[in-house]
Amino acid sequence: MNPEGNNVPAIDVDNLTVSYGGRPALESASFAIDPGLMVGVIGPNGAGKSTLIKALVGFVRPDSGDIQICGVPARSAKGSIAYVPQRGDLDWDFPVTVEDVVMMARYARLPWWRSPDGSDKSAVRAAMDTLGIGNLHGRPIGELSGGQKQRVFLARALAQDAEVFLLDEPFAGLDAATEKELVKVLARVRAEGRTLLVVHHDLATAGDYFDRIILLNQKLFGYDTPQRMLRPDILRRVYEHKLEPFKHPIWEAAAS
Amino acid sequence: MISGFIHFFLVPLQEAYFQKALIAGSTVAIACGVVGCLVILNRMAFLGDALSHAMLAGVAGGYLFMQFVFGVEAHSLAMIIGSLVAALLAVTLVNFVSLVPRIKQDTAIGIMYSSAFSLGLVIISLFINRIHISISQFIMGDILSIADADLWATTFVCCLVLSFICIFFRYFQIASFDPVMAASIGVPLGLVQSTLTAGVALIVVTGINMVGVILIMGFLITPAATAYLICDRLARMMILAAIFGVTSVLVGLYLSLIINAAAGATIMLFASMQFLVVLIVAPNYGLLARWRHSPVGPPRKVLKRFVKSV
Repeated sequence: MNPEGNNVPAIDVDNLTVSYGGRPALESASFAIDPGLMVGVIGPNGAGKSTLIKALVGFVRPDSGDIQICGVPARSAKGSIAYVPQRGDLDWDFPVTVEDVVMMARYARLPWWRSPDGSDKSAVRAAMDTLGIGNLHGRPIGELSGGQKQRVFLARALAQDAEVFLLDEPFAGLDAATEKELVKVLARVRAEGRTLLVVHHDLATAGDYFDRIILLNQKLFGYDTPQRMLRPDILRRVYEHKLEPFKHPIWEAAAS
Repeated sequence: MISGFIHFFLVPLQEAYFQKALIAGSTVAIACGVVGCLVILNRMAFLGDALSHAMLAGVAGGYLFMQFVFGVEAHSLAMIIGSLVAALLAVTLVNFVSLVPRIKQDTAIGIMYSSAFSLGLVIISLFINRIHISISQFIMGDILSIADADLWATTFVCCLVLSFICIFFRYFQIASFDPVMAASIGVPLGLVQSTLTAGVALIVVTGINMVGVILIMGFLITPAATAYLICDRLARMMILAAIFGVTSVLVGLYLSLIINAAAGATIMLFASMQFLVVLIVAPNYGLLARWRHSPVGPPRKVLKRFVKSV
């Protein structure tokens, strides 16, 4: 699948267990994602989707289990993971400009004694132009609209030139046009052979967006193609029968 | 007239005590401003308060240690190290107490802050014959009677902390803004956090000599908050906070001479006035700007109250 032609998974999670203050958030999850796939992480609120991402980037320490990114233990794979936070997780009053935020990506590979050079600046500029925010470079992030904010963080991920992208609810609260455009950008990233793991809450679009689906509710309910995963009987179990009012062809079909 | 004016500014400058107050005060103000920005953005203000109170125990401990073991009186380095140990213990205890989910961090800090301060008071009162620390100086500070050794220690500590922040600026910025992303690119979050805490502790220790334990938090936070109202970039906010700190020291010191008031408090009061003025007139985030942009104008209640108070 990947350019080298070997079969090392981009994300390899083995028996991952994470808990917060004694309460389990994620229980012995195992899956291996091949490079070049765009994978949706689906599950109800509090299912441990964000926890999975935070464990993958090394922000929360797992109780047990093993994570490998492109065949390297996650701990030493720093820099090859680009992370796009959930918009609600950030302090939008923080004094940074758009350009500052995108430049953060370059510090992943830059040693601490070196300041950004021309190549870093052009990478930052290119990423901002790709997402159409080049004209906003000097603006403080607090002044941006929701869609612009999401573009900034996607630009930061692009500027990092990472193998693996982890996105936490990137489309939440966006208008349809912006969502469509961002999905296109993500598709381009996948076409370059990179791997994307996207936390997503909209079952209606999940089948169109993703090559594979991870179903999660504390435990892993499955990792497979959307056709095999987005089936009413499976989703019922994942959502613990709380999804009935959801109006979607899948549910209509299930009801009849 | 003009010569009288110049005379007024120059005469105090010839006094050694005033020079030292100016130099030490400005140095601490610069460091406080820069560190204060990170304290504000990381919401550590209350933690800093706890640290400063815990230091009394540390100062007393360091003092007693040097006196009992080496027979040296009031050794400044030992007192600084003692305060750092106390600060470290205080932070560890806060984290330990907040392990129980029901005790939130601010509660834990509130508990530790008073108990650590009490411990300091108890130690000092037990060894009242051996320790010559003036509690009132610890609480109020005395910027006008700074010893040479303290001046050197202050300068050294401030330069140390400032250069650390300059060198690792990008990591402090990312870790404060987006800690998860920081973790994803390999920034050692724990190390950054403890370095920052240690930096706050160091600055507070040196500042206590000058403005005392009660005013030091204002010194740390007020100039930084003033700068925050004007700036949209962290580096600029830090520079501006340092400038606001220095102007407070400068104006405050002269003002205290004119009106013959306590120097530390006058400095702090001027810093607060600066903040109030900026709060009102700041171009984007000030009250006037907000009212101008809001369709309904200033809230009636606020106006009424303001008119009444005038």
